Amino acid sequence: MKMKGGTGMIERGRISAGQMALILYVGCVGVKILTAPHLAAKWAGRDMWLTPLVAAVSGVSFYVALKLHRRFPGETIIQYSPRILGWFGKGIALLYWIVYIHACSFVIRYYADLVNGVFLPETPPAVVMGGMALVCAAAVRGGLETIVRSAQFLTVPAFAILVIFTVLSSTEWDVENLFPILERGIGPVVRGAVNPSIWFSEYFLAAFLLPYVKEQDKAGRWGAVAIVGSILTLTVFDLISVFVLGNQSATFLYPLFETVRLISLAGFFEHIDAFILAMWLTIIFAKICLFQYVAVLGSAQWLGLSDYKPLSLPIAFILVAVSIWTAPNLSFLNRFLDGEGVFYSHLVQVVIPLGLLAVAGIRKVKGTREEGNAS
Amino acid sequence: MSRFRGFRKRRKRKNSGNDPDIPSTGEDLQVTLHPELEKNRRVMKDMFERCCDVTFRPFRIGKKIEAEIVYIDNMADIEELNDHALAPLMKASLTHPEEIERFLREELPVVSAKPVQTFDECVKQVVAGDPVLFIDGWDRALNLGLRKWEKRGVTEPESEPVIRGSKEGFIESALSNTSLLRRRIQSPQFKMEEMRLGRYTQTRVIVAYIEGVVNEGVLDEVKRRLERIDIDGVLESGYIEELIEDNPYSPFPQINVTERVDTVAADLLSGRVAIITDGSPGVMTMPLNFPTLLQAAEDYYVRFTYATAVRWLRYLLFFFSLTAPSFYVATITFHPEAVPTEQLFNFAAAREKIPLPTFIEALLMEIAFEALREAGLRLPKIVGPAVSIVGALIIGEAAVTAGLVSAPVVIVVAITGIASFSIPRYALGFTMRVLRFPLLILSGSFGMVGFSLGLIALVVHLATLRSFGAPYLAPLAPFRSQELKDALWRSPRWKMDQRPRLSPNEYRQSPDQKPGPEQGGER
Repeated sequence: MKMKGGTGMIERGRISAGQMALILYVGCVGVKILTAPHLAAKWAGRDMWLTPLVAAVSGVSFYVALKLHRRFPGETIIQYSPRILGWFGKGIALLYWIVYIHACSFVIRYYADLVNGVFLPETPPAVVMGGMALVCAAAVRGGLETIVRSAQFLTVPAFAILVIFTVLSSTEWDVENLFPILERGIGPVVRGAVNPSIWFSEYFLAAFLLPYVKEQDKAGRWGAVAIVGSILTLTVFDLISVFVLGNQSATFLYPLFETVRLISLAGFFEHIDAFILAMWLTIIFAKICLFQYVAVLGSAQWLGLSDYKPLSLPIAFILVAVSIWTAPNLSFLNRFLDGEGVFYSHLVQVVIPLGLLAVAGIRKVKGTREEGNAS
Repeated sequence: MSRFRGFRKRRKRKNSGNDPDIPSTGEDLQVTLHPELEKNRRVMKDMFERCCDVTFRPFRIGKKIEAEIVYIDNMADIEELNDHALAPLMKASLTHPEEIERFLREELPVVSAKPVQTFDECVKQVVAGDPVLFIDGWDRALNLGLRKWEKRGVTEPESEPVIRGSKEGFIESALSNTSLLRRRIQSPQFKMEEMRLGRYTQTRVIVAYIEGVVNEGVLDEVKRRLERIDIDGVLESGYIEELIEDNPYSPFPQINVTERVDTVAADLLSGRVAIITDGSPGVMTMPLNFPTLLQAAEDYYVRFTYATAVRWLRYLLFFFSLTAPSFYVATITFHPEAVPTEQLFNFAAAREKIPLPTFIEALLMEIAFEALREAGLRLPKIVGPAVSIVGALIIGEAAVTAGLVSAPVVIVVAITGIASFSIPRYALGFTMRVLRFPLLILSGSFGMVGFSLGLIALVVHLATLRSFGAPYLAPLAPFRSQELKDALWRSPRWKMDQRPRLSPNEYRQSPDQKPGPEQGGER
């Protein structure tokens, strides 16, 4: 194994800080705008729109990633964790690789369950997953630049249209549903924030993107913009879900679809949830792409390969298989993401990185690359 | 994998080397001319053996010195040749061969005359149409430069018509095209470099750019890719296009081809490079980004509000031309609840007697439409209308009445067809026609999910594309707010101060030129 010191920059593309922020933002809100009201409402009821604000605490993971990046510029966690902890760090790097394959399989599974459950009940899940994984593999093969550009091109209009559609549902809004606020205190809100916090902790993925950001000085600011943007977006979607569905949000698996289904414009524009699905697919595509990219890049870096692109297709196959094994059904998935999952994701994306940072500080390990090399 | 790659490499090497089977023209002729006319004449006659169009005209200068003009019938300007070359030469009172050179320089009234030293050059000039003069006792020849080719006049480009704007289009002659461009850009900074491509055709290929405005990196890359070309002939700019593209497998055009002079001039002023190919009215400009393909020349000549609105309409129609049939099939087959109830009943009633599933129906109609279009294009112009009558009657009327296809599908296909005609660049129209079918199959199989995944895959492909290093989706992804003014909308002229980022020369014009009653006059 010729790992020592890593193989340098195997990603040749460079992205802007804004692009990094966009893809992290999409990664954070992508699944949640569709599903989280369901999980959050189970605990927090009509106060669920407060949960994103509480959950955003996990956005600290971005700053941990940023701090680590500043210490080891030009490297991802797969590369610098062996630098900090030697062979044990190598093991930790392996953990990250496996974790992100696992996490990606979760997202793919979520997507496939939605599509199978609501739109294509008779299509085998493997086909639904395989289609998406293949498209993502093509994007990963094109490199980081391709991923962020496709994400940019697809998700910005998709979000715009989603917002327009939700505004169209305003005839169904009942602001009274919001009151009384904090009827049962802050406790249920915090419990409801457990699931969203998982998505916020995923801002740690920045550890894989920061080395390739062109404008290093703007990265922190843009990260903050993304986190604030996520809070706002999630709050707005949660609010709408409360306005329209009230306390019953918890009974619907995909409250956004239910909301949109109620839209009726001039008696012609009805039941447009299928189009919302088409929009949402572009968003979930960006999210799966991000995870798949991290899994592919991580494996190439862990193995010390000189190029990650040939791995994109094999890892797509692995991801489809893992997605099938990862959970027996959607309710298991939801239970996991509302319970144990929070420890899992925070351990990996907040606690271990913080530990790495502390050890690096104590042992005074620093990256060998100059900051300038990254740009 | 590696073995396969090695095999391919080996084959490539074999083809690219100087294969003895392909004779190269001219290389063995780098011989200087002989002072004796007889020897020169013999070499030339050998060279042009069995070329019935090459004419040798012997005569005497001042009734003393032997001379000979070699030219090709109908490619040389015979009148000029008689009046301004042959006549003064015959009347000249030359006796010594030493005086020839002085005479040719001072008393021959032909502006483009140029001495030639080698046989190679002589042959090249003769086949290009220039008469070449050989004189006994002079170890050079004179290229008289009196070529005159048949060419058609400058007409309005038929594929890109405008209402307001120049009606000038490029023609097949490269030199006419360069003059059309030079007339637009009268600056010494406007450079045109010539090269010859094609072993047999020796096609004149001209790289044009504006120094100081052009992106040097792109220019070097263009030249490098052109120099790499080694084929027997270049008959159309399409030959070159396929040999210098970034991604040869992509269905999308990566080089802009236009017959409009003003479009090329505007591209040059934006820092792009143009390639003019002799024999082709299509001038290529590069790099190309995707939004450019949906812009028409006229957008810049009409009021910007209208131009912006039309651009948006075009974006919409472009999207329709790609997606309308697949969207219809996905909705009707997989998500009928999205159709308003009454409309759904109508659709159901229309489809009641149809034996085919919607997907097959749409596929067949699309194929029929493409067939009609192709037939209308290839037929002689007189028969053309017959096709559209037959098409309209059979497909529009009879097929519906006979219960073979339903009326909604006919409408969808018609909308798609009209939408695809609104794409201002023909090359992109081809792309849409080809891509519509896989998308239709995906939507017919997986509904909205397949539709969406197909579009996502398309965007991924577009995001990987580059045209001479410039990202294809440029002002949109990567996002460049400065350039949006010419992509998402068309800003008024006085706001377009900056060139695209491509050009090192940032400013097009001085700022603050917004007109108004206060501006100018008393200030």
